[in-house]
Amino acid sequence: MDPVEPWIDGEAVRRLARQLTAPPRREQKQPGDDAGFGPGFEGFITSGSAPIEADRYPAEQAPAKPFLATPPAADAPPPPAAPEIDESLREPLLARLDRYREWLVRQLDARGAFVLERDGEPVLDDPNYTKLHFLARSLAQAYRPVKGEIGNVHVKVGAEAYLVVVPVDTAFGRLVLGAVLPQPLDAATVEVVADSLKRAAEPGRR
Amino acid sequence: MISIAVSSQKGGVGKTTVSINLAHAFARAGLRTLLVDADPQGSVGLSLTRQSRLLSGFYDYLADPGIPFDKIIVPTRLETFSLVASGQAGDYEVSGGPTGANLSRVRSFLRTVEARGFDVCMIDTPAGLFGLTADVICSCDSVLVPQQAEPLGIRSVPKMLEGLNRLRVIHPGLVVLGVVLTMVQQDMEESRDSVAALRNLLPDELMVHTLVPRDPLFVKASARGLPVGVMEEGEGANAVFDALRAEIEAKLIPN
Repeated sequence: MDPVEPWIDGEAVRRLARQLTAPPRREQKQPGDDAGFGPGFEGFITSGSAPIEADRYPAEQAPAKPFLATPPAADAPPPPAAPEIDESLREPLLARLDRYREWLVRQLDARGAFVLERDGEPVLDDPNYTKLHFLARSLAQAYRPVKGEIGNVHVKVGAEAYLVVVPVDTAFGRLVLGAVLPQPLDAATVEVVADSLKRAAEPGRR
Repeated sequence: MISIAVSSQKGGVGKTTVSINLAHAFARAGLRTLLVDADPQGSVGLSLTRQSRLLSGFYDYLADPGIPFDKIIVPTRLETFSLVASGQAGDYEVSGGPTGANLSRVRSFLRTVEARGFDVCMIDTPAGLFGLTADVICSCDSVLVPQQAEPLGIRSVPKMLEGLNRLRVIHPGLVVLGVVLTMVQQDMEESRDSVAALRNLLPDELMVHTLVPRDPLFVKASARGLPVGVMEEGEGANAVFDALRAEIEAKLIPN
């Protein structure tokens, strides 16, 4: 007894096999095929969101280029005042970082923030944005500081949501801040954010 | 570098046996070969020492781009043969995602393997042609499909062909090396009939002529995650995979 033919449509199989052995179409390579971060990158928001097209934004509102600190606009507000840090070392590190995060929320309207240490483990975690650790670490590793500048890298991760990544060197090694903000940061604000994180991590070491 | 995904619609068809032994055959031929265990249920990692099994591996590399590549390579006694175990990150964290979720990372992995000077990279994938397996197939040059030489196994061929056709839309340059029949029992009529039926159904280009027999030695070797050639009395089995290697080389590197 034929073990196969009663169960298989032989003609369908042959047709599928012919398709599979047909010469390939010429591959259309898209720019940034493997980058994962095209101009309309929406990150980890729900798949129902449509990709952002660059020409939907007027030039002055176009998302800032990643890997560069946004230069301050002429009428930009001054950077926020730095948070108060308890320099006495009475407060544990996590408590200091938690208060630093509260400052980010108050002053910069952060939706959330986390701090990673050099091996990518969270020092300060945010359960709403655990999935962004991978992205923050990738961006921090790709970051090449311009001499004399504290830069940041940022990528749009949703409607009015940017993941801003600020690597900071401390006495304990590199820390990576990942903050979800409604707008990228200008250079002056990045400097305050970075310096405040450094002070929160190593108070008294100035 | 040649990259080969060893994949199948169903589990238990001999993917790991084919992966281990075919990779070993390439390595014995002098080609610098990397065997990657992307199947959390595969036994490639069983041959490693207990300490080695705690090393990071393929799933860790996919989950964390900061892991140095050198940290996941495991050398073997054969200088041209290296392994990457499946690793410590849970497969549910990685392979449960939709097709495309890991495409970028898998392609990055293969670029790194090639940059390290490997001639062949063989990836033993989880069963099914979706999710991470689909991303691996869409990143590799070619795919080899082990299939059990028995009636139930043969009946899954249409689904397998449909799956590969879908993936070829994403990766038009994919070379389908063909179906390699495994667990062939020449002394069983149903097994011989299955071989004949598949050869009748599929064109020559989609059939691998080398047959992998069912043999207790293969079962013992695969259970230990070892190439059959390193087992006692296993040298004769090397001939099967040397022939398979030659057939695949002819398909990938035409004269």
